[in-house]
Amino acid sequence: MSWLDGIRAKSISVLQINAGGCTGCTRQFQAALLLDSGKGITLTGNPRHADVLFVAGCINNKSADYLRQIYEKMPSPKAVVAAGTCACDGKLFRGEDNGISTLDEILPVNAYVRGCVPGMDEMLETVINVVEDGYKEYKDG
Amino acid sequence: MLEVILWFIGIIIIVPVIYLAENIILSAIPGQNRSYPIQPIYRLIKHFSKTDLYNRPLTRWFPVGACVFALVTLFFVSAGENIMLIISGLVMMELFILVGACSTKEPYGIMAAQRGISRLAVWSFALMIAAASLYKAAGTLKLSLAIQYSGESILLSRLPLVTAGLFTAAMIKGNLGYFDFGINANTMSFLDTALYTPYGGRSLGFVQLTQWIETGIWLKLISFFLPWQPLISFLVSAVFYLAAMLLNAVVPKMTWKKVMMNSWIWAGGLPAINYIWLYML
Repeated sequence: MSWLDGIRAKSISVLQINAGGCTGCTRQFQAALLLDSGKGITLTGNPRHADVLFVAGCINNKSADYLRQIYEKMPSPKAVVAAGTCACDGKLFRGEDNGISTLDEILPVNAYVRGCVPGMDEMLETVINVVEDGYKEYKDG
Repeated sequence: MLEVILWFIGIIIIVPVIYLAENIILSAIPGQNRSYPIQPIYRLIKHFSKTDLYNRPLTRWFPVGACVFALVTLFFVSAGENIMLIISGLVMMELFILVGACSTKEPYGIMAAQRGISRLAVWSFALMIAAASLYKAAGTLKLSLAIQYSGESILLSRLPLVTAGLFTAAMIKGNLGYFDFGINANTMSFLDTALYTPYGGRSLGFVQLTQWIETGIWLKLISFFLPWQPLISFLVSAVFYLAAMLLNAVVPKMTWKKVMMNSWIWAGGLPAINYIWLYML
């Protein structure tokens, strides 16, 4: 971890997008920010100010376009985190031809946080690790 | 000259100190987001380490221009120059940011610029009335000469509403003056920090730096009207500003229409009443 990545990890602006789901993951993440381990992470509604795009929920054709537009507006370096089972692999809602995509079909994903709903600490750790590691792409398998 | 340089450095330092104090106090309050004591500094470094993404190459230079104007104005205010020079510097700085916002050619950028223009109308009006009132009360526009009147409490006793109006204008400039004490308060969208909206990356870093310097300029400007020693007056205005920042973190905000109405009443109205009162004396 370089000193710059260390500083970046101490001030992370997260843009949450609920692409179409139960909102459980995004609410869980908002609650997690009140924990001490969420120190330095703030939510933003503006892609220009965001460092991490935190996507939850099932992604359909309509939300996929918006996600691409939002991603393009974020200044580099930037990271994408897929949170929850819906964004990671569609799971239950992914039929053969129902227009539901996984996040890695739409955007380059840096990290996945699996689970329904994922744990608070896992989500915070993932967001911090992605930035500390210099926005490198890594997968949890 | 040494005194001017010391003031120049002191004003640059005081604003991060206010931000740090705010962060330390807020992170101790339950229910607020946790933050590092020097998070504003981390945020600034982070912004400067990011790239700009604009479809127009000139857009990124407008915040740089604004920052240069802020530094020049800071020198004027440290040297206690003519208040009209300081007003011109502040207006030019704001115009650079507004033109930059317009030049992004994004709907949000243009909307932010429109809001910035309505805000510019309020605070430049307040500053112009303050300059006219200062001339009427002290017979000079040069702040270093007017300060002898502030030492004898003449300025504050003759211009109390101008001082209050200027402080309100400073709060509006720092996106702090939007408190809603009513029970039906609406939470404003992210556009409450209007001029930040179209900027990102390095440009946002310059805009933020400009705002830091500008806040220092406003605090120094207000301190000229306070009756104590220059350093104590400056610290008093800084403490008041910190109190406004803390209030801002816990009190709901108004909608934009209400914001502008209240801005005209407090930042525009108070100095105007004071000016009329000076004529009647």
